[in-house]
Amino acid sequence: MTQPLVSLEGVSKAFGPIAALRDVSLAVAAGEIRGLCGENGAGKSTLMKVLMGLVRPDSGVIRIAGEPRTIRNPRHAQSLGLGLVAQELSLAPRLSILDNIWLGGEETPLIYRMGKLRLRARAALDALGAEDLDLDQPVLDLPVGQRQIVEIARLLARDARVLILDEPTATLSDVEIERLMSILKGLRAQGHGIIYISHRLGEVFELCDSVTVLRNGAHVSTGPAIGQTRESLIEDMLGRSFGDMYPARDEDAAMKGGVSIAHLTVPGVVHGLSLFAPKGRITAIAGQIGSGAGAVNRALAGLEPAARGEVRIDGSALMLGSAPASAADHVLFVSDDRAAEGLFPDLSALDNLIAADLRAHASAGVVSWTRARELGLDIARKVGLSEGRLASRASTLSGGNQQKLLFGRALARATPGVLLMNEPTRGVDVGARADIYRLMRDLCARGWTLIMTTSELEEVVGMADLVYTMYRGRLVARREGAEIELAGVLADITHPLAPEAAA
Amino acid sequence: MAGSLRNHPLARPLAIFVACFILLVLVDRGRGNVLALATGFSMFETFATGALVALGLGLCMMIREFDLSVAGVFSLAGCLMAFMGGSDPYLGFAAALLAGVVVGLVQGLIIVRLGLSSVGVTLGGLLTCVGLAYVLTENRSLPYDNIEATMAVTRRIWGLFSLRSLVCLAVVALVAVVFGVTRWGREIIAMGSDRRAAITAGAPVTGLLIAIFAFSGFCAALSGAMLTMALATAAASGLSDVIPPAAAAAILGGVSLAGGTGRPLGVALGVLTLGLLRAGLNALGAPPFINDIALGAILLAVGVLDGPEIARRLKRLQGT
Amino acid sequence: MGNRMSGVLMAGVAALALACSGGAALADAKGKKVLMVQSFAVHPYVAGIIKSFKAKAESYGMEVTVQAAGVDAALQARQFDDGVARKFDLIVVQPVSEQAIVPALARAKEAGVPVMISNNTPKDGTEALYQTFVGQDQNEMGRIVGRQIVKSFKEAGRDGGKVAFITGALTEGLGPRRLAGIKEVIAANPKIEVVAVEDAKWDTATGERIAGQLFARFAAQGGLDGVYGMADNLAVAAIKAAEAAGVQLGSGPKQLLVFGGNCQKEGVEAIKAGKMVSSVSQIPTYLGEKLADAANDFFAGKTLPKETLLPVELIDKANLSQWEAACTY
Repeated sequence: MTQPLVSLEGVSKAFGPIAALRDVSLAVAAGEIRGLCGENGAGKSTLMKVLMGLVRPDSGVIRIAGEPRTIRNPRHAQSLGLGLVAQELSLAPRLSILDNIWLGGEETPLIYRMGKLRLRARAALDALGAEDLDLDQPVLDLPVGQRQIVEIARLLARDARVLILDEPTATLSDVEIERLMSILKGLRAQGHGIIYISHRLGEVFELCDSVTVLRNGAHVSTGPAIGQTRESLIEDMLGRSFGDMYPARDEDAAMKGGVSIAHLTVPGVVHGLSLFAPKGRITAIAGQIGSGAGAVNRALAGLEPAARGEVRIDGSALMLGSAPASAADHVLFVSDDRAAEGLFPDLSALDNLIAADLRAHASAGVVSWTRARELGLDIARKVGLSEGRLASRASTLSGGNQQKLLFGRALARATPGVLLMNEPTRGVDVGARADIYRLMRDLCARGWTLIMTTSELEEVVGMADLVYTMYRGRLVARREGAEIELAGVLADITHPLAPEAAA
Repeated sequence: MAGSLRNHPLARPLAIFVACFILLVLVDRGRGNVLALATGFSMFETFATGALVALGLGLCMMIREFDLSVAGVFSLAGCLMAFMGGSDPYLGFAAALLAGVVVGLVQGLIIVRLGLSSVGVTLGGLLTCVGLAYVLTENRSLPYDNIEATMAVTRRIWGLFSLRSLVCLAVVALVAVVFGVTRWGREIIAMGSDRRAAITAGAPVTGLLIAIFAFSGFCAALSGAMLTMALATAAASGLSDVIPPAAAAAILGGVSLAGGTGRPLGVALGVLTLGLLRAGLNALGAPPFINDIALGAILLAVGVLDGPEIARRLKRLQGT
Repeated sequence: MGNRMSGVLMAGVAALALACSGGAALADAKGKKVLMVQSFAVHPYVAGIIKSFKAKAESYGMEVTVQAAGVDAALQARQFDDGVARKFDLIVVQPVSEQAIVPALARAKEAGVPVMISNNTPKDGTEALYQTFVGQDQNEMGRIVGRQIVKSFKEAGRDGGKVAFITGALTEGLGPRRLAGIKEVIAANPKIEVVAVEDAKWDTATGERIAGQLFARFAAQGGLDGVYGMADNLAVAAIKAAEAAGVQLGSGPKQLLVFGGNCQKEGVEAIKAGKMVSSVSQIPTYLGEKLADAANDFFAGKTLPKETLLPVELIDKANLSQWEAACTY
């Protein structure tokens, strides 16, 4: 057995009271592509930050080619032969490809010796089959797929032995994904070690030699990719079977009416989308990053000024492009960016609960605070928020409790309306998730129309009554009832052009 | 080829400068008021007062920071020059530059170590420097009694320049070369366009930030000290309005408040544009407020062109 | 706009005529190009000087160009130097800083461009660098107020008393000169005590704030007997602060006497209302016209005195009617 290129032994890291990594061990050998899977919050990104020197582990040993090392910063990690292609690329758009390849390199001389650096950058790009890229072209002009190739070329030019790729295909087109796959296989053949972080199981099975699964910061399993099945990986990732988490669907809740969207266009993001979200049901709009799913909800909430199209709620038209107009039509929006678009972080939890509906507690413009407070307390009980927390500032609450506040606002409304949710459980722990899922069903029963977008497939499969899948701003699939199962939705998202199911 | 020329970072500052020049010459209608050596000299004298402050501030803006303390350092350096540099200008320069660099270093360290916003920190620096200058001068304007030195820095050289403007040109040229041929220039641009990306790529961002604030302090001190020599006086309240023209010059020079754009030569061109406007309109005998209106209109135009909406539309027009 | 253009054109024609005449010194102001380099063009006092100078100078046939630099001494030096380079026949400058303008004056002298100084007293020892200074004796303006304070206190039956000064910028220029004058008089009357000299930099709002603080500070010590606002806007600011603080104005016991420094519209009103004792004449229109007269004399080849001083007089209730119009600018 040859020595692994890099290995972690018993690495732990906690941020305050939250353990991000618990005693994780992992080793990657030369010529190996290791898949790294896990839910959001499983510890994948912390693990990666530990390897790049962006986070110091609390305990454990990192060995590079057998030598124990303390990785001080990204520069040091590079000099040890570790290279990262992060989900958000680390390229400076206004610099040329050449400058980006050498940006921050440890051996980049103070005064550029252009000739030599050019040759090495050229060689690195050529090795990736990117002979067509001009070294002097600014990165700004490149599509995402080519930017990724520049990132990889940067690592190769600096002699990285171990490449870490974090969700590299999230924003790529099919052709670009194909190209990336073959590049990575080529690098494996040259003896590089690769850690491939992805929740796209199809890619993992196609590319990886072995797979490691993390859950809640702990190592769950490591084994060869052959012999694993999609189901076994998912069970490892979730630690349970689907059913427990999600409340039963209530078929009786379906009612007449709902939200009909016709020819919705948000320039550059959504192109002529038409769909129907029935009242009393949960409609999910699925899609990868850049699919435009999130923008649909933002447009309905009036937060996309350039949105055009025809939206009717129970038959009456909604004015697009104006948040107050949407709010007046009982359209509530739970943002994926709670801090910026949802909560008032410096107000108390109670004030946040009643904030969006002050007019309902007012007579002739004067707010009745006693009545408002009573109502707030009532809602707090309904959403499962303890009374002691009501006086705390919203910014001090956990992600789950913050989200409960936003749902509570919907519950506070006497008239049912439309609840738009982008990533409703992002940053929410497992226990609070179940509460939130229960709340969503409650709202259905009260006659609300729920439209949700989420990057977590199991949430789609567990909660949605109706799933629309978008790809690059267009609708590509529609599933209902029994058609909603993980593999199918995953296929819709990742192989978008195959099914012609879109109605 | 045309595209790459248009995208060159110096293309716009140069275009603005040339456009202003042509406009002034056209308004002059061949009377030779604008096309005179005196206009050029005047332009370079304005450059001598403002160029270095704009350069330092411009570098700060390139990395998405701001340095309000330049105005304070500028006054303090002038007072130190008047205080210590009367008999020996070199001693005055040493004291002024030391003060400028120390103020910049301290501010840079505070910003980096405590993770504070540069606007707040440098506002503190500004008030501290002005306060020190008031204490030093006891709220009186100080004469700088070295007539030979005054005449030496203001004497006209080759018709267009003075020692003062030549020093500024030399510093700008040096910075432009360093920015162009070393990795620092690339790292500054990278740091301004996306600091997280620059860190991930391995650029030494903390060191650069501290160095840029120190350099900004150095620049403000050098020009403040030289202005005191040229005007033979120093005052805690400052001899010249520094920050608005410097910020305007940086923006004309292609530096955006969002960081990550611009070049030192662009900033220098921005300062020259301000000087040209001032000198040219003076030569035309335009009333004083015309200069402000013209400058305001140009800045507004630049700001509108920089807006994301316009950029998107332009891009769509180009079909990319 | 068209007017200005034709004006510039006329200047060009005149310059041509001048060139054809062989450059012999014409004993006439007709067609002479004069540059006025000003400080605060937006301040009513400065605006008054500019307006009256321009009108009178143009009536003599001069071509007047105006530049203004606010408080920016560097910019003013630049505007002045540009004027020198462009060979104006005469430059009239109101220095932002008496000190910072000196090198530029020296360069004008070297280039043979004559200069006149307006309003702001030039630095001592620079007499060789300008033709004449037209303005007021600022020390005298201070002394007049000093004498008035002594007199008013006596008339109010007070044996001495406490006075506070709220001044214009003391860094240099008018402020320190007026202060020196008033202190000189008061020093000869040891029973009058100057308890505070506060720099309000000519700013009304600052003056009001400072006055309020002064009243609070001295309330415990029996209050102030008098306040001097170095310009009328500062004196009126002190009156407002006194009214807000409940300090009584007037010459009775425990009441406050307020003295202005150079007359302005609001000062005239305050004297009329009996809230302010007096002010001192400093009239922009007189100054502007005097400057134009001096320029005309200069072009006519007359020898000018180094100083052309305008009369400064005390303005109180007795002679207010005579000054009211001139002070309202």
